[in-house]
Amino acid sequence: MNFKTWITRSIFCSALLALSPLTLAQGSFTQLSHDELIKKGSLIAARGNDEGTLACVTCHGSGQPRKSPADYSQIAGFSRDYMLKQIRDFQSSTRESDAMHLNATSLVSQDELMAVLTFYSSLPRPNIPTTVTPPDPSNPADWLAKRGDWSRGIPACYACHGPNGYGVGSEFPPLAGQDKQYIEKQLKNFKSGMRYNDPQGMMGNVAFRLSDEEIEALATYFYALPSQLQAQAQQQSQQTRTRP
Amino acid sequence: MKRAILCLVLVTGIFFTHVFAQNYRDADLAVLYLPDFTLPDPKNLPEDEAVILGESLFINTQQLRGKHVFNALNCSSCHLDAGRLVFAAPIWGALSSQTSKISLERDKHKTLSARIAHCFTVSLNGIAPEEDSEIMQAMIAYIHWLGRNVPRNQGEEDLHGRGFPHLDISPLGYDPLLGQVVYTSKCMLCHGTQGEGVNVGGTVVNTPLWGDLSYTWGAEMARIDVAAAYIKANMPLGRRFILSDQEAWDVAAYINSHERPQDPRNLLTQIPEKTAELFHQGEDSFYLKKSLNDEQILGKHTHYGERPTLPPNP
Repeated sequence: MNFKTWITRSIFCSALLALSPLTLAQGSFTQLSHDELIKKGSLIAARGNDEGTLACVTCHGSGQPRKSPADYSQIAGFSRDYMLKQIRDFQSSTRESDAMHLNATSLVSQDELMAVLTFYSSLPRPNIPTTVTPPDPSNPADWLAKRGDWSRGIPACYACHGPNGYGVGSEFPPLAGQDKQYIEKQLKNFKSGMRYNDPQGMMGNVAFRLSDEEIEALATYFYALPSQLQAQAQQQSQQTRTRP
Repeated sequence: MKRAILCLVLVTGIFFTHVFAQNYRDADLAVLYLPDFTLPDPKNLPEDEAVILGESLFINTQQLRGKHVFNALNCSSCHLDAGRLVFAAPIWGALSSQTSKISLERDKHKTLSARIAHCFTVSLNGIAPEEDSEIMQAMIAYIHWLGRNVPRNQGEEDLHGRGFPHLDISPLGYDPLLGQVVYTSKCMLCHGTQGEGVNVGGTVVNTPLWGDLSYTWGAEMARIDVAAAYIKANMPLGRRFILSDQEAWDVAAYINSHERPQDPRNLLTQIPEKTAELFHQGEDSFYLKKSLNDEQILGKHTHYGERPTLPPNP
């Protein structure tokens, strides 16, 4: 191998190495099967562990929609890799939250960590349709979600988070049905720079340009979105049924 | 040795973009996002069915999939914000003069409908709607509504935000292998490890960059200079101009050194060499050049993706 090839490859390898915490974690360091992970995870989620991790369900629930919104994310059915990154960031305080820092650092065993994450990612998610209706010009949040406001450099929420905030891959979490206070707090943290663990500053860049009123409107919008979409679908099916 | 210098520049580039990325937050928004004239309000579409249909076709071109479109792209995949956004080849630019900024002399497109048809053929890997069809007329109506305040007959340099911003040719050239590093760290997240893009439940979220569902070898975007300028100005989404020029050149070369559907105009002759001579002369692309692994000649095939092998109108 000549020098040029060597230097190119070493650069490429170092880039891969930088991403390795994610790739390694997806690997097979745990001996447990998928079902065993879910079973173990459901126990930890319900009771916590001996190292000081509290029961997850107390705040994050177990997939049932909450009656009153709270300041915790609804993580049922989230991407495992997304949650893993957040846990790592909580552990290293790259994402700040006193409670989650304690809970995450107490998840010492890799098995336990993967068990909890596998359990939560296996839970059913709210049923969100993936066809998007045209934006309503009189509803600013709906417009921002579907079209953004490029005159201020704001892309549509759905451009990254997927149709109706469904969630995309391991970096763009689902928005539909998230707690109002949670979305509001996260967007405000992104805006102030307190949260900065987003890829290439893409979320911070958007949040920075949103006004506080817009952030509140979006939080309310996404919290109510699943029930709104359901109502829309029901209305449509009734219309087709009444048609001769 | 040249490679070593390239690497050094790239690493420094990445370092500095990280350090100074924050400064773009304070950049003058108006210059970055608004043209010199007033665009009509998208929340206030006229009660003209053609304009409404035109906008809908422009944003969701996939509704024509299998009929006029044979890949996973929408017009607004590249022409961001429904064709309004400056530096993302805004479609109102077409009204300021009748020659496309990036089209070479030989394929000047005289009329708006011919230019739209050209996009359908090469970029959407499709079959263009007839000039007098409802679809074509709706798209023309939308463009005319959108560009009604555009100053007419302007020189190419006079109109702020037209086309893409100028990107100087890098003295270091470009290197697809270095582009792979940029791609892996900054683009893969949305566009996938195989450039396959992302769709959620059938709705395209992130554009495929190569392969059967992406633009063809005939598309303007398959040219490295065009892609580099586009990437510099528009990627990562919402963070325009944060990549260094060199990163943009390298990653454009990496993306465009992958296989994609044959230029549909090749159906006229079925000889790629002839197509290259007719339509690709002097352009900066990997068409009929060696692939990265040296194992094949890119674009030397008669694979047209999902497109029926019906010759396009010349």
